[in-house]
Amino acid sequence: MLHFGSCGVHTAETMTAHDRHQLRLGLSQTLPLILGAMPLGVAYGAVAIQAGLTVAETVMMSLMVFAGASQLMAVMMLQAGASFPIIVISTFLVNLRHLVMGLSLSPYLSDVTPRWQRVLAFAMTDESYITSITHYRGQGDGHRSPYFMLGSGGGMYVGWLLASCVGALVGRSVSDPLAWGLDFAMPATFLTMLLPQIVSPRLVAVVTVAAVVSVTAYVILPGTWYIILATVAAVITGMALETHESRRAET
Amino acid sequence: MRPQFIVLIVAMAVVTYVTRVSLIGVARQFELHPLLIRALEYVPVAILAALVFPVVVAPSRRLALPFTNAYVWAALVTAVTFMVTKRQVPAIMLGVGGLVIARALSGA
Repeated sequence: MLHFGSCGVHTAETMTAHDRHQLRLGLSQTLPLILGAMPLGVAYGAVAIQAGLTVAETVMMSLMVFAGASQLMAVMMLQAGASFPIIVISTFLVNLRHLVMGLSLSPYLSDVTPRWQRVLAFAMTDESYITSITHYRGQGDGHRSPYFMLGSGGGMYVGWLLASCVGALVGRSVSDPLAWGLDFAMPATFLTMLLPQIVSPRLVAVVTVAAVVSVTAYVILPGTWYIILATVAAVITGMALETHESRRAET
Repeated sequence: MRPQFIVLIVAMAVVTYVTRVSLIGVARQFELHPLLIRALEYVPVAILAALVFPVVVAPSRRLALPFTNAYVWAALVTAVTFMVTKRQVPAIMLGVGGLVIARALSGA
């Protein structure tokens, strides 16, 4: 087990049956989200073409950036005539939430090699993060296989590339794919992941605060500040209630 | 491919990857304070709530009342189905299916 984490990503022949199982499990548990992200990918591809990107440039952005919300925002800004530095700065701001996600995931990846961490970082989207951290937490203190997150993030990557290609190729002929209702697959999946986690009055309070803060910030502020602010508010609420409960237990 | 667009895409890729890679390895390098680890326990549930409630309650980033907002009804269908059946796929499919049909009917 000591040498487990040291096997390279590219050496498929050293993958054990357990690794392959974890890879498949990561992929299958993320499947609803992979499908749910596809309308967004098609929308991104179509808007990118309408904004004047070539098909190659549209696909290259998905290959290299691999971040749905910021890519869609970037091509919408291009269409509106924004300058390149502004687009890059906005991309950075929208992706700041990854810092919180990476930090909260890091205790579960502490026995994974730095090389694996660099690969998994590229594959960390909202979807693969949530699926993987939920899986790792459910495992208790056992060994966390990086192959699970590789399957989860890798599946998202392939789905995202396919959807961007479709959007770029059908381009102008597609009427807003986000208006069909298929986009609901994403929040619906997240909802089914959220409900089983609300197991105590404290978590009811934490989720309520996160819901109120995120909705308010979503309406008032640009970008993805609503995710960061909801996280900060939820952490404060949770810690305050923990302290309050332990004080009450002492008296 | 035009050079200036390649520069834009590479710059976007770099700033995105920096946000992803900066802290993912931090627990391997440093011993995290137990208080921080406890605080981080609330992050996934908070992010889930932030990925569900805003797009359901305020699609297009504007608050929409439940009477006129099909997403709220679709979310209720998914939640109730999930709590009754304990199964993820039927809950998602009923919610999405209901929304697609409602959209198609109201658009026709």
